[in-house]
Amino acid sequence: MDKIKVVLISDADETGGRYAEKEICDFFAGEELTIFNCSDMRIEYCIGCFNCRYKTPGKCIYSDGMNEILQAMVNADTIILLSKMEFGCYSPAVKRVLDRTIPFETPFLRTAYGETHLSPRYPKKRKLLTIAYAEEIDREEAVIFTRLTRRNAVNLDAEWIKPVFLRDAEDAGNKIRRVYGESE
Amino acid sequence: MMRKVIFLNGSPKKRRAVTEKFINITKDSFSGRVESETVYIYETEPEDELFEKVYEADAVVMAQPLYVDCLPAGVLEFMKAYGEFVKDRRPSGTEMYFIINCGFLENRQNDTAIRILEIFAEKTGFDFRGGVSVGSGAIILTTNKKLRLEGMLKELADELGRSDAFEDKGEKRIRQIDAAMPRFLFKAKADKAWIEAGAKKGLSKKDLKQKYFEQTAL
Repeated sequence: MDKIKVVLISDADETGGRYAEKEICDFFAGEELTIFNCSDMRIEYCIGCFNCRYKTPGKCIYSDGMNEILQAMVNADTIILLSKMEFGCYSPAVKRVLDRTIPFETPFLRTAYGETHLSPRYPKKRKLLTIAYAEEIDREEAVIFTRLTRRNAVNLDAEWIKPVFLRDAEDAGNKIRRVYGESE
Repeated sequence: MMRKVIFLNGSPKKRRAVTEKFINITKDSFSGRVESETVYIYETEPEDELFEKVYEADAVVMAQPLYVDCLPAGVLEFMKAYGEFVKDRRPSGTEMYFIINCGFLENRQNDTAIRILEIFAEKTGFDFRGGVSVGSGAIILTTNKKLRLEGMLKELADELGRSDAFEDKGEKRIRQIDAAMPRFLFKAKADKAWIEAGAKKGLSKKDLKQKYFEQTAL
């Protein structure tokens, strides 16, 4: 059987997330796992120029590490976002990456769940798993983050997997196993 | 009393953004004694000087486009840094309002981002007062909903200009508007605009859909 292609986009640094990152690596040992640590990468902000839509379709004006991330996402079976949770949202480092996924889609609209969304430039069956960690995650933040990840999955045209919330690094592996296992 | 209002323009397009248009319509509608200032998040370092200004203001308006289902990365950067700034301070009680606009037809796609702003407000000592949620991108300005949208921004200006708006208008007011047209019509308009933009660069519709990265397996 072919190995599963997994792309992990992680913001783990000395302030947190490293344990979860290691657990993910262990869980996907034997598969084809590519890790991008965006807290090291300093990805440029999307500036909303839309060159990637109507001047150089699919290509961003910047050539930074985002090109490698997008290339990996194109062929991935599973995309994992590991992010510190900030106010029920992603960390700025992970959001910089997400903001730069505009060339992953065409400018043209499609309808999904009764709403307008962008069409995928690289259609493929993919899964999106998000893992959020923080010292404290209250219920409301978890609910909003869950909704956000559903929307992200629709926009990336990926299968949504219920997010994993980590307050305590110790149970990271089990939680990831349980949630990821359920979606198989 | 002079009211001090700060607009935080959180669009990467800064002065060229639709966000800026909405800010200016609001500013032009002030009737009371208001001193306002626009700060461009994408060209301002998130430093204490800015945070102090926000902390001391009567009201702040967080104005930005929806980016990938939530707030643009630069705005999140500001929020995170402001959160650290106020950590050991008393709640400022600064009123927080928002203007958010998404390029999709439905304004409801802004709802998650609005809740994130509200959580941010609660955690950092703002008084969240609501605002205006706009769908349909720049297309709304070409429809008969434009007047209603301007009316909403005028209401917002009225609340920003008064210290007693709370008694009058309740805790928070979230106004929602979009072009409210059939989806197929919106799609036709939006797609046409991109096809025309591409054509000016000598690109066909098919070109706009081209793959730039190599896709090996489907």
